[in-house]
Amino acid sequence: MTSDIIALVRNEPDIPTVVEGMIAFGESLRMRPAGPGAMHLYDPDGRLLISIEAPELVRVPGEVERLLGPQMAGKVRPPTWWVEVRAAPGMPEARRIARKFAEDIVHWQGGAVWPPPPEDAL
Amino acid sequence: MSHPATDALTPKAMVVLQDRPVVPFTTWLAEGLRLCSETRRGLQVVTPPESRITMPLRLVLTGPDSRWVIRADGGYYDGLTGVPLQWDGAAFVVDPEARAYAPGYTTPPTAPIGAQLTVTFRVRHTPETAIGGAAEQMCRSLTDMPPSGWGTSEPVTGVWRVEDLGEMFGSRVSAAVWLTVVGGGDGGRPVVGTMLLSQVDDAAEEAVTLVIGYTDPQETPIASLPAIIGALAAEFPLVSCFAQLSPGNADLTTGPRWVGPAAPIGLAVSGSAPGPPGVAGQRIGEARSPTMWYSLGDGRRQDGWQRYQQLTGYLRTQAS
Repeated sequence: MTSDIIALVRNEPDIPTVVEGMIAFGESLRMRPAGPGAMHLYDPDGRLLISIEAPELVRVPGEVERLLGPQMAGKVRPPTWWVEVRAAPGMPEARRIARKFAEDIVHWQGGAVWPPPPEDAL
Repeated sequence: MSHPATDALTPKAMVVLQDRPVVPFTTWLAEGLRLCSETRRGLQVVTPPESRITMPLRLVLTGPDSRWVIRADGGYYDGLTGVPLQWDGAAFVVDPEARAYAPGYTTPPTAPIGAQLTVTFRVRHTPETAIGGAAEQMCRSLTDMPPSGWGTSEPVTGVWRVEDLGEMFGSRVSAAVWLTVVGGGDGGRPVVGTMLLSQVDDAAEEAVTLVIGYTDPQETPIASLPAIIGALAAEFPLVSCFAQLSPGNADLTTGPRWVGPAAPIGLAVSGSAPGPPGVAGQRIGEARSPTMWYSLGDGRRQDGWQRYQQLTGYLRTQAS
Protein backbone atom coordinates (compact mmCIF):
# COMPACT_ATOMS: atom_id res chain seq x y z
CA MET A 1 0.00 0.00 0.00
CA THR A 2 1.32 3.40 -0.92
CA SER A 3 1.43 5.77 1.98
CA ASP A 4 0.92 9.52 1.97
CA ILE A 5 2.49 11.82 4.48
CA ILE A 6 1.84 15.54 4.52
CA ALA A 7 4.10 18.19 5.98
CA LEU A 8 2.37 21.45 6.85
CA VAL A 9 5.25 23.89 6.94
CA ARG A 10 5.19 27.38 8.40
CA ASN A 11 8.03 28.89 6.37
CA GLU A 12 8.70 28.38 2.67
CA PRO A 13 10.06 24.82 2.42
CA ASP A 14 13.59 24.32 1.14
CA ILE A 15 13.40 20.70 0.03
CA PRO A 16 16.94 20.23 -1.37
CA THR A 17 18.57 21.55 1.82
CA VAL A 18 16.54 19.19 4.01
CA VAL A 19 17.34 16.21 1.77
CA GLU A 20 21.04 17.14 1.73
CA GLY A 21 20.88 17.20 5.52
CA MET A 22 19.39 13.70 5.57
CA ILE A 23 22.20 12.49 3.29
CA ALA A 24 24.81 14.22 5.47
CA PHE A 25 23.42 12.37 8.49
CA GLY A 26 23.87 9.01 6.82
CA GLU A 27 20.81 8.27 4.65
CA SER A 28 21.75 6.73 1.31
CA LEU A 29 19.58 8.73 -1.05
CA ARG A 30 19.77 10.26 -4.49
CA MET A 31 17.67 13.29 -5.30
CA ARG A 32 16.37 14.20 -8.74
CA PRO A 33 14.01 17.03 -9.76
CA ALA A 34 10.62 15.77 -10.99
CA GLY A 35 8.88 18.72 -12.60
CA PRO A 36 8.54 22.25 -11.28
CA GLY A 37 9.30 22.25 -7.55
CA ALA A 38 8.86 18.47 -7.17
CA MET A 39 11.59 16.00 -6.16
CA HIS A 40 12.09 12.25 -6.34
CA LEU A 41 14.33 10.39 -3.90
CA TYR A 42 15.94 7.11 -4.99
CA ASP A 43 17.85 4.40 -3.15
CA PRO A 44 21.48 3.66 -4.15
CA ASP A 45 20.21 1.04 -6.66
CA GLY A 46 18.18 3.70 -8.45
CA ARG A 47 14.78 2.55 -7.22
CA LEU A 48 12.22 5.29 -6.57
CA LEU A 49 11.56 5.59 -2.82
CA ILE A 50 9.50 8.72 -2.40
CA SER A 51 8.08 11.54 -4.43
CA ILE A 52 7.79 14.98 -2.94
CA GLU A 53 5.26 17.21 -4.66
CA ALA A 54 5.81 20.92 -5.23
CA PRO A 55 4.92 22.80 -2.02
CA GLU A 56 1.70 24.80 -2.24
CA LEU A 57 0.93 27.83 -0.11
CA VAL A 58 -2.58 27.36 1.31
CA ARG A 59 -4.03 30.68 2.40
CA VAL A 60 -7.63 29.52 2.70
CA PRO A 61 -8.99 29.04 6.22
CA GLY A 62 -10.69 25.71 6.83
CA GLU A 63 -8.79 23.62 4.26
CA VAL A 64 -6.58 21.83 6.82
CA GLU A 65 -9.63 20.93 8.90
CA ARG A 66 -11.70 19.88 5.87
CA LEU A 67 -9.06 17.52 4.49
CA LEU A 68 -6.99 16.47 7.52
CA GLY A 69 -9.35 16.94 10.47
CA PRO A 70 -9.71 19.25 13.47
CA GLN A 71 -6.64 17.91 15.29
CA MET A 72 -4.32 19.14 12.53
CA ALA A 73 -6.27 22.38 12.17
CA GLY A 74 -5.53 23.05 15.85
CA LYS A 75 -1.79 22.77 15.20
CA VAL A 76 -1.37 24.91 12.10
CA ARG A 77 -2.98 28.20 11.12
CA PRO A 78 -3.14 29.47 7.53
CA PRO A 79 -1.21 30.49 5.58
CA THR A 80 0.70 27.23 5.54
CA TRP A 81 2.88 25.44 3.00
CA TRP A 82 1.36 22.06 2.13
CA VAL A 83 3.88 19.41 1.03
CA GLU A 84 2.60 16.02 -0.16
CA VAL A 85 5.06 13.14 0.26
CA ARG A 86 4.30 9.73 -1.25
CA ALA A 87 6.15 6.57 -0.34
CA ALA A 88 6.51 4.12 -3.23
CA PRO A 89 4.58 0.84 -2.86
CA GLY A 90 6.44 -2.34 -1.99
CA MET A 91 9.53 -0.56 -0.67
CA PRO A 92 9.88 -1.15 3.08
CA GLU A 93 12.35 1.71 3.47
CA ALA A 94 10.14 4.20 1.66
CA ARG A 95 7.67 4.85 4.47
CA ARG A 96 10.44 5.48 6.96
CA ILE A 97 12.25 7.86 4.59
CA ALA A 98 9.01 9.72 3.81
CA ARG A 99 8.24 10.19 7.49
CA LYS A 100 11.84 11.21 8.23
CA PHE A 101 11.78 13.81 5.46
CA ALA A 102 8.48 15.28 6.69
CA GLU A 103 9.67 15.40 10.30
CA ASP A 104 12.97 17.00 9.31
CA ILE A 105 11.38 19.71 7.20
CA VAL A 106 8.96 20.56 10.00
CA HIS A 107 11.85 20.49 12.49
CA TRP A 108 13.79 23.08 10.48
CA GLN A 109 10.99 25.21 9.07
CA GLY A 110 8.17 24.88 11.61
CA GLY A 111 4.75 23.25 11.31
CA ALA A 112 3.30 19.77 11.80
CA VAL A 113 3.29 16.35 10.15
CA TRP A 114 0.18 14.38 9.15
CA PRO A 115 -0.59 11.71 10.21
CA PRO A 116 0.50 12.75 13.69
CA PRO A 117 2.92 10.42 15.49
CA PRO A 118 1.12 7.59 17.37
CA GLU A 119 1.53 9.16 20.83
CA ASP A 120 -0.43 12.23 19.60
CA ALA A 121 -3.20 10.32 17.95
CA LEU A 122 -5.08 9.40 21.14
CA MET B 1 6.57 7.92 -18.89
CA SER B 2 5.27 6.63 -15.57
CA HIS B 3 3.58 9.27 -13.48
CA PRO B 4 5.16 9.37 -10.01
CA ALA B 5 1.83 9.05 -8.21
CA THR B 6 0.86 5.98 -10.17
CA ASP B 7 0.80 2.54 -8.63
CA ALA B 8 -0.08 0.77 -11.90
CA LEU B 9 -0.26 2.10 -15.41
CA THR B 10 -1.92 -0.12 -18.00
CA PRO B 11 -3.18 0.57 -21.52
CA LYS B 12 -6.65 1.16 -20.04
CA ALA B 13 -6.17 2.73 -16.65
CA MET B 14 -4.01 4.60 -14.20
CA VAL B 15 -4.45 3.02 -10.78
CA VAL B 16 -3.65 5.01 -7.66
CA LEU B 17 -3.76 3.49 -4.17
CA GLN B 18 -4.85 5.77 -1.34
CA ASP B 19 -5.32 5.06 2.32
CA ARG B 20 -6.03 8.42 3.89
CA PRO B 21 -9.36 8.98 5.70
CA VAL B 22 -10.40 11.83 3.38
CA VAL B 23 -9.09 11.49 -0.17
CA PRO B 24 -9.05 14.83 -1.98
CA PHE B 25 -8.45 15.79 -5.61
CA THR B 26 -4.76 16.56 -5.00
CA THR B 27 -2.50 18.29 -7.51
CA TRP B 28 -0.93 14.96 -8.42
CA LEU B 29 -4.35 13.33 -8.96
CA ALA B 30 -5.22 16.36 -11.12
CA GLU B 31 -2.01 15.79 -13.06
CA GLY B 32 -2.88 12.09 -13.32
CA LEU B 33 -6.36 12.89 -14.62
CA ARG B 34 -4.85 15.19 -17.25
CA LEU B 35 -2.52 12.38 -18.39
CA CYS B 36 -5.48 9.99 -18.42
CA SER B 37 -7.63 12.19 -20.61
CA GLU B 38 -4.72 12.79 -23.01
CA THR B 39 -4.04 9.08 -23.29
CA ARG B 40 -7.69 7.88 -23.10
CA ARG B 41 -7.19 6.03 -19.86
CA GLY B 42 -9.47 5.83 -16.87
CA LEU B 43 -8.36 7.11 -13.47
CA GLN B 44 -9.04 4.46 -10.83
CA VAL B 45 -8.53 5.37 -7.19
CA VAL B 46 -8.35 2.38 -4.81
CA THR B 47 -9.08 2.91 -1.10
CA PRO B 48 -10.06 0.88 1.97
CA PRO B 49 -13.77 1.02 2.95
CA GLU B 50 -13.01 3.48 5.76
CA SER B 51 -11.94 6.22 3.33
CA ARG B 52 -14.23 8.98 2.15
CA ILE B 53 -13.73 11.09 -0.96
CA THR B 54 -14.28 14.81 -1.41
CA MET B 55 -16.93 16.25 -3.69
CA PRO B 56 -14.45 17.41 -6.40
CA LEU B 57 -12.83 13.96 -6.54
CA ARG B 58 -16.25 12.33 -6.69
CA LEU B 59 -17.24 14.57 -9.60
CA VAL B 60 -14.09 13.81 -11.62
CA LEU B 61 -14.26 10.05 -11.02
CA THR B 62 -17.45 9.77 -13.06
CA GLY B 63 -15.59 9.89 -16.40
CA PRO B 64 -15.31 6.89 -18.75
CA ASP B 65 -13.40 3.98 -17.13
CA SER B 66 -12.73 6.15 -14.07
CA ARG B 67 -13.81 4.65 -10.77
CA TRP B 68 -13.57 4.77 -7.05
CA VAL B 69 -12.53 1.20 -6.19
CA ILE B 70 -13.07 -0.12 -2.66
CA ARG B 71 -10.90 -2.99 -1.49
CA ALA B 72 -12.88 -4.96 1.11
CA ASP B 73 -13.39 -8.54 2.26
CA GLY B 74 -10.85 -9.90 -0.21
CA GLY B 75 -12.63 -8.33 -3.18
CA TYR B 76 -13.42 -5.01 -4.80
CA TYR B 77 -16.49 -2.88 -5.39
CA ASP B 78 -17.39 0.46 -6.92
CA GLY B 79 -17.62 3.02 -4.11
CA LEU B 80 -20.25 5.11 -5.88
CA THR B 81 -22.54 2.36 -7.23
CA GLY B 82 -21.84 -0.67 -5.00
CA VAL B 83 -21.30 -2.95 -8.00
CA PRO B 84 -18.70 -5.70 -7.37
CA LEU B 85 -15.58 -5.25 -9.48
CA GLN B 86 -12.73 -7.42 -10.62
CA TRP B 87 -9.29 -6.74 -12.08
CA ASP B 88 -9.22 -7.86 -15.72
CA GLY B 89 -5.47 -7.46 -16.08
CA ALA B 90 -5.69 -3.87 -17.31
CA ALA B 91 -8.40 -2.19 -15.26
CA PHE B 92 -11.06 -2.68 -12.61
CA VAL B 93 -14.25 -3.71 -14.41
CA VAL B 94 -17.73 -4.81 -13.35
CA ASP B 95 -17.70 -8.43 -12.19
CA PRO B 96 -19.97 -10.22 -14.73
CA GLU B 97 -20.70 -13.02 -12.23
CA ALA B 98 -21.95 -10.71 -9.51
CA ARG B 99 -25.69 -10.81 -8.80
CA ALA B 100 -25.92 -8.47 -5.82
CA TYR B 101 -24.44 -5.25 -4.49
CA ALA B 102 -21.34 -5.57 -2.32
CA PRO B 103 -22.32 -6.18 1.32
CA GLY B 104 -20.10 -3.28 2.46
CA TYR B 105 -22.10 -0.94 0.22
CA THR B 106 -25.53 -1.97 1.48
CA THR B 107 -24.62 -2.04 5.19
CA PRO B 108 -26.45 0.95 6.70
CA PRO B 109 -24.18 3.63 8.17
CA THR B 110 -24.14 3.79 11.97
CA ALA B 111 -23.90 7.59 12.32
CA PRO B 112 -26.89 9.81 11.45
CA ILE B 113 -26.94 10.94 7.82
CA GLY B 114 -27.29 14.60 6.96
CA ALA B 115 -28.42 16.13 3.69
CA GLN B 116 -26.65 17.61 0.69
CA LEU B 117 -28.33 20.29 -1.40
CA THR B 118 -26.87 20.39 -4.93
CA VAL B 119 -27.44 23.45 -7.08
CA THR B 120 -26.19 23.32 -10.68
CA PHE B 121 -26.44 26.43 -12.82
CA ARG B 122 -25.07 28.15 -15.88
CA VAL B 123 -24.82 31.85 -16.62
CA ARG B 124 -23.58 33.53 -19.77
CA HIS B 125 -21.77 36.70 -18.84
CA THR B 126 -22.14 40.11 -20.44
CA PRO B 127 -19.22 42.56 -20.43
CA GLU B 128 -20.85 44.11 -17.33
CA THR B 129 -21.15 40.99 -15.16
CA ALA B 130 -18.21 39.64 -13.14
CA ILE B 131 -16.87 36.14 -13.81
CA GLY B 132 -17.29 34.15 -10.61
CA GLY B 133 -19.94 36.58 -9.43
CA ALA B 134 -22.80 34.12 -9.93
CA ALA B 135 -21.08 31.45 -7.81
CA GLU B 136 -20.41 34.08 -5.16
CA GLN B 137 -24.02 35.30 -5.08
CA MET B 138 -25.45 31.77 -4.89
CA CYS B 139 -23.02 30.89 -2.11
CA ARG B 140 -23.99 34.02 -0.14
CA SER B 141 -27.69 33.31 -0.62
CA LEU B 142 -27.36 29.75 0.69
CA THR B 143 -24.68 30.09 3.40
CA ASP B 144 -24.69 33.82 4.29
CA MET B 145 -21.02 33.99 3.29
CA PRO B 146 -19.05 34.24 0.04
CA PRO B 147 -16.84 31.26 -0.86
CA SER B 148 -13.61 31.23 1.12
CA GLY B 149 -11.29 29.90 -1.54
CA TRP B 150 -10.68 28.53 -5.00
CA GLY B 151 -8.07 26.49 -6.82
CA THR B 152 -7.44 23.95 -9.55
CA SER B 153 -7.12 21.05 -7.08
CA GLU B 154 -7.33 20.33 -3.35
CA PRO B 155 -6.44 21.83 -0.94
CA VAL B 156 -7.60 25.01 -2.64
CA THR B 157 -4.88 27.61 -2.24
CA GLY B 158 -6.33 30.98 -3.23
CA VAL B 159 -8.44 33.20 -1.01
CA TRP B 160 -11.71 33.99 -2.82
CA ARG B 161 -11.69 37.31 -4.70
CA VAL B 162 -13.95 37.63 -7.73
CA GLU B 163 -11.46 40.07 -9.31
CA ASP B 164 -8.78 37.33 -9.29
CA LEU B 165 -11.06 34.92 -11.17
CA GLY B 166 -11.74 37.46 -13.90
CA GLU B 167 -8.04 38.24 -14.25
CA MET B 168 -7.08 34.57 -14.28
CA PHE B 169 -9.69 33.65 -16.90
CA GLY B 170 -8.85 36.69 -19.04
CA SER B 171 -5.17 35.77 -19.09
CA ARG B 172 -5.71 32.16 -20.17
CA VAL B 173 -5.26 31.17 -23.76
CA SER B 174 -6.96 27.82 -23.25
CA ALA B 175 -10.67 27.53 -23.90
CA ALA B 176 -11.81 26.38 -20.48
CA VAL B 177 -10.76 26.48 -16.84
CA TRP B 178 -11.99 23.99 -14.23
CA LEU B 179 -11.92 25.12 -10.63
CA THR B 180 -12.78 23.90 -7.17
CA VAL B 181 -14.63 26.33 -4.92
CA VAL B 182 -14.93 25.92 -1.13
CA GLY B 183 -16.59 27.83 1.67
CA GLY B 184 -17.82 27.62 5.19
CA GLY B 185 -14.50 26.91 6.92
CA ASP B 186 -14.14 27.68 10.64
CA GLY B 187 -17.67 26.85 11.67
CA GLY B 188 -19.62 28.23 8.70
CA ARG B 189 -22.04 26.05 6.73
CA PRO B 190 -19.94 23.75 4.52
CA VAL B 191 -20.04 24.32 0.79
CA VAL B 192 -17.86 22.70 -1.86
CA GLY B 193 -18.30 23.02 -5.57
CA THR B 194 -16.78 23.06 -8.98
CA MET B 195 -16.83 25.73 -11.62
CA LEU B 196 -16.15 25.47 -15.33
CA LEU B 197 -15.30 28.76 -17.01
CA SER B 198 -15.36 28.68 -20.78
CA GLN B 199 -15.83 30.85 -23.81
CA VAL B 200 -19.10 30.09 -25.61
CA ASP B 201 -19.50 32.08 -28.81
CA ASP B 202 -18.77 35.64 -27.68
CA ALA B 203 -19.63 35.20 -24.03
CA ALA B 204 -17.81 33.84 -21.00
CA GLU B 205 -19.88 31.04 -19.53
CA GLU B 206 -19.81 30.12 -15.84
CA ALA B 207 -21.11 26.61 -15.13
CA VAL B 208 -21.26 25.94 -11.42
CA THR B 209 -22.14 23.02 -9.14
CA LEU B 210 -22.39 23.97 -5.48
CA VAL B 211 -23.11 21.37 -2.79
CA ILE B 212 -24.16 22.58 0.64
CA GLY B 213 -24.15 20.33 3.69
CA TYR B 214 -26.80 20.11 6.44
CA THR B 215 -26.58 18.06 9.62
CA ASP B 216 -30.34 18.37 10.02
CA PRO B 217 -32.13 17.68 6.72
CA GLN B 218 -35.03 19.87 7.92
CA GLU B 219 -32.77 22.94 7.64
CA THR B 220 -32.51 22.80 3.84
CA PRO B 221 -34.00 26.05 2.44
CA ILE B 222 -36.25 24.40 -0.15
CA ALA B 223 -39.05 26.97 0.04
CA SER B 224 -36.62 29.87 -0.50
CA LEU B 225 -35.01 28.45 -3.66
CA PRO B 226 -37.32 30.11 -6.23
CA ALA B 227 -36.61 33.53 -4.68
CA ILE B 228 -32.85 32.83 -4.41
CA ILE B 229 -32.64 31.70 -8.04
CA GLY B 230 -34.86 34.60 -9.14
CA ALA B 231 -32.43 37.01 -7.50
CA LEU B 232 -29.54 35.32 -9.35
CA ALA B 233 -31.41 35.67 -12.67
CA ALA B 234 -31.96 39.37 -11.95
CA GLU B 235 -28.19 39.95 -11.64
CA PHE B 236 -26.73 37.49 -14.16
CA PRO B 237 -27.92 36.16 -17.52
CA LEU B 238 -29.05 32.78 -16.21
CA VAL B 239 -29.40 29.92 -18.70
CA SER B 240 -30.67 27.29 -16.26
CA CYS B 241 -30.50 26.21 -12.63
CA PHE B 242 -31.34 22.77 -11.22
CA ALA B 243 -31.72 21.98 -7.53
CA GLN B 244 -31.79 18.54 -5.95
CA LEU B 245 -31.45 17.08 -2.49
CA SER B 246 -29.78 13.85 -1.40
CA PRO B 247 -29.01 12.15 1.89
CA GLY B 248 -25.31 12.45 2.67
CA ASN B 249 -22.61 13.64 5.03
CA ALA B 250 -22.94 17.25 6.15
CA ASP B 251 -19.16 17.66 5.67
CA LEU B 252 -19.71 16.90 1.95
CA THR B 253 -17.47 13.87 1.83
CA THR B 254 -18.84 10.64 0.34
CA GLY B 255 -18.43 7.23 1.92
CA PRO B 256 -18.57 3.97 -0.08
CA ARG B 257 -22.09 3.01 0.99
CA TRP B 258 -25.69 3.53 0.05
CA VAL B 259 -27.35 6.33 2.01
CA GLY B 260 -30.48 6.85 -0.08
CA PRO B 261 -31.48 8.39 -3.39
CA ALA B 262 -31.36 11.97 -4.60
CA ALA B 263 -34.65 13.64 -5.54
CA PRO B 264 -35.29 16.80 -7.56
CA ILE B 265 -36.58 20.07 -6.12
CA GLY B 266 -36.95 22.16 -9.25
CA LEU B 267 -35.50 23.55 -12.43
CA ALA B 268 -35.26 27.18 -13.50
CA VAL B 269 -34.90 28.05 -17.17
CA SER B 270 -34.69 31.42 -18.90
CA GLY B 271 -37.81 32.22 -20.91
CA SER B 272 -41.51 32.14 -20.19
CA ALA B 273 -42.79 28.72 -21.32
CA PRO B 274 -45.69 27.75 -19.03
CA GLY B 275 -44.58 24.12 -18.54
CA PRO B 276 -46.08 20.73 -19.41
CA PRO B 277 -49.34 19.45 -17.85
CA GLY B 278 -48.70 18.44 -14.26
CA VAL B 279 -45.63 20.63 -13.78
CA ALA B 280 -46.44 24.07 -12.49
CA GLY B 281 -44.32 26.93 -13.81
CA GLN B 282 -43.80 30.12 -11.83
CA ARG B 283 -42.27 33.37 -13.06
CA ILE B 284 -39.21 34.38 -11.08
CA GLY B 285 -36.56 37.08 -11.53
CA GLU B 286 -37.37 40.42 -13.11
CA ALA B 287 -39.26 41.43 -16.24
CA ARG B 288 -36.03 42.20 -18.13
CA SER B 289 -34.69 38.71 -17.35
CA PRO B 290 -37.74 36.44 -17.73
CA THR B 291 -37.12 33.13 -15.99
CA MET B 292 -39.46 30.26 -15.13
CA TRP B 293 -39.16 28.04 -12.07
CA TYR B 294 -40.68 24.59 -12.44
CA SER B 295 -41.30 22.92 -9.12
CA LEU B 296 -40.55 19.18 -9.29
CA GLY B 297 -40.85 18.01 -5.69
CA ASP B 298 -39.63 18.34 -2.14
CA GLY B 299 -36.20 16.78 -2.71
CA ARG B 300 -37.33 13.51 -1.10
CA ARG B 301 -40.08 12.02 -3.24
CA GLN B 302 -38.82 9.89 -6.13
CA ASP B 303 -41.83 10.67 -8.37
CA GLY B 304 -40.17 14.05 -8.91
CA TRP B 305 -37.91 12.33 -11.45
CA GLN B 306 -40.97 11.52 -13.64
CA ARG B 307 -41.88 15.21 -13.63
CA TYR B 308 -38.25 16.00 -14.42
CA GLN B 309 -38.42 13.72 -17.49
CA GLN B 310 -41.71 15.29 -18.59
CA LEU B 311 -40.28 18.77 -18.15
CA THR B 312 -36.99 18.18 -20.01
CA GLY B 313 -38.93 16.54 -22.87
CA TYR B 314 -41.28 19.54 -22.97
CA LEU B 315 -38.40 22.05 -22.91
CA ARG B 316 -36.72 20.24 -25.82
CA THR B 317 -39.86 20.62 -27.94
CA GLN B 318 -40.05 24.30 -26.97
CA ALA B 319 -36.46 24.82 -28.06
CA SER B 320 -36.79 23.10 -31.43
